[in-house]
Amino acid sequence: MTRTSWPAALTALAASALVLLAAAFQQTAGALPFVWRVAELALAGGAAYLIDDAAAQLTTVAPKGPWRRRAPALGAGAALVAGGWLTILAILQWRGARPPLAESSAELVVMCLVAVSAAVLLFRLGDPEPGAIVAPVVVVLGLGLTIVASVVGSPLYLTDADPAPGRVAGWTAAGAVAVLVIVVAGRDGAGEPKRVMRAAAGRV
Amino acid sequence: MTTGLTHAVAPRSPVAERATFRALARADARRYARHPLFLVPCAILVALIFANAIDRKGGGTNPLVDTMTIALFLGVFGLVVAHRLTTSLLRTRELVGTVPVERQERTASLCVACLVSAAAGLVAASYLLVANALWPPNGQPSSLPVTWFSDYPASDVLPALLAMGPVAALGGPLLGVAVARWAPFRGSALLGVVVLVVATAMMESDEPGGRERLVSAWPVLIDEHVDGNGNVVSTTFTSGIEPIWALGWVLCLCGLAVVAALLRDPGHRRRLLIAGGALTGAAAACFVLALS
Repeated sequence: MTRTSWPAALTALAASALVLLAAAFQQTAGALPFVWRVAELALAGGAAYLIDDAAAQLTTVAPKGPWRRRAPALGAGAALVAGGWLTILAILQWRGARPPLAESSAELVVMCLVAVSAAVLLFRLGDPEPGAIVAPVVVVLGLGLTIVASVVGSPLYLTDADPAPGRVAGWTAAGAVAVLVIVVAGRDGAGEPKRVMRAAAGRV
Repeated sequence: MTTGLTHAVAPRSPVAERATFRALARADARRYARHPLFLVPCAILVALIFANAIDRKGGGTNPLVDTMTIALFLGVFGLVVAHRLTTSLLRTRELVGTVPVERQERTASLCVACLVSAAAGLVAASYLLVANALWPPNGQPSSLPVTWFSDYPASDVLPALLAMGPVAALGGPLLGVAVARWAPFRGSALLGVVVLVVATAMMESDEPGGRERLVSAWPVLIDEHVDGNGNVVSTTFTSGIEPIWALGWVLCLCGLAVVAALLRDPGHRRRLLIAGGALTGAAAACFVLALS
């Protein structure tokens, strides 16, 4: 496993442990929905660490493309996030507080995509380890959305109420934009000079 | 025969040390104030304040609810900002090594820089005072109490406002400094945020009047009362908790975070341990008094 996956592993472990703690000791179970929401956000935030590359100045000029280089870390990270999520769902099932599987998992996937897209964008802008900023910000912004939803009295998350078409469309759009950002911002920066040279050669 | 240079370092006078520390604290405060994760939440708070002012909306039935926004945007974001600033010392180790101050002084100056967040929290809390003076909160019907000066003494309202607003805005960043000094690994900021939020949520009882919520770093000192439709019609202070001592409790927690951060380095160990002991005693006393 590459170095990059350790924060994601730690996050998955900590998120599962916190949900277990809340499930075991919160007798009234009132805090459990909030705790699993935070755990979900933490797992999504943890995905942002998968883009970190402390040696970016060296690796970005290597012949191997960025996604081939990141593939092992991303694969391991995705497995860790999925493992953490399944553990959390199992704990919530035990306490009879499991959210709808499809909606909550879709939420997590979109949030992971958003976190990774933000990390890829920051990486593109020159931050070799964007996870340190993106991960906590995903959690805090997600909490902000939770608070806004409760204050406004209008559900924002897919699991807050029965999924209305508008909310499903919103989450789908967020996921699509995130994928677009990942594709565009995650292009091989090292390949660009070659394209420029080829274009220049063609003109000569 | 040795030909190496010998540096004669003159011992710094206390006056020069103080001046150096002040300059360092000012520089760190500027770094804090310019950090995007401080500026963006401040911009959001300003936007919310404008929206609130345009709507001519006070606190409604829960005048202290906006302290939650202050705690989230300045306190929790502040944890991340302070963590980033503190770990930046590690990321630029070679550069930091050239600065003629000890790492403990750098930590102390970062703790002072956290006052930027507290000041922003104080401004936001002041706005709450102004808005609720202009558009007084009221229960629905107005015979029902709300947690404001009209129904409670200032000795309850002001400490609650300070404890849940500006002090939370100070405590989050101080915790960020402590976490970064003791656990500077990647992912510690995320873990710090998650543990802080979850611990706070778990301590908050969903039963009105739960006194165990004081254990939390951000104790909720009010209870909401709702009607059949789930609308908040009235708010009261939690009967088992004295807000003034709760304020003392959270201030002591802030002090303990500073001591914890400074204890990471070997200097002034004895004085710090004494201060830590005194703060622990004071925190315990405030806790007991708050619940008595």
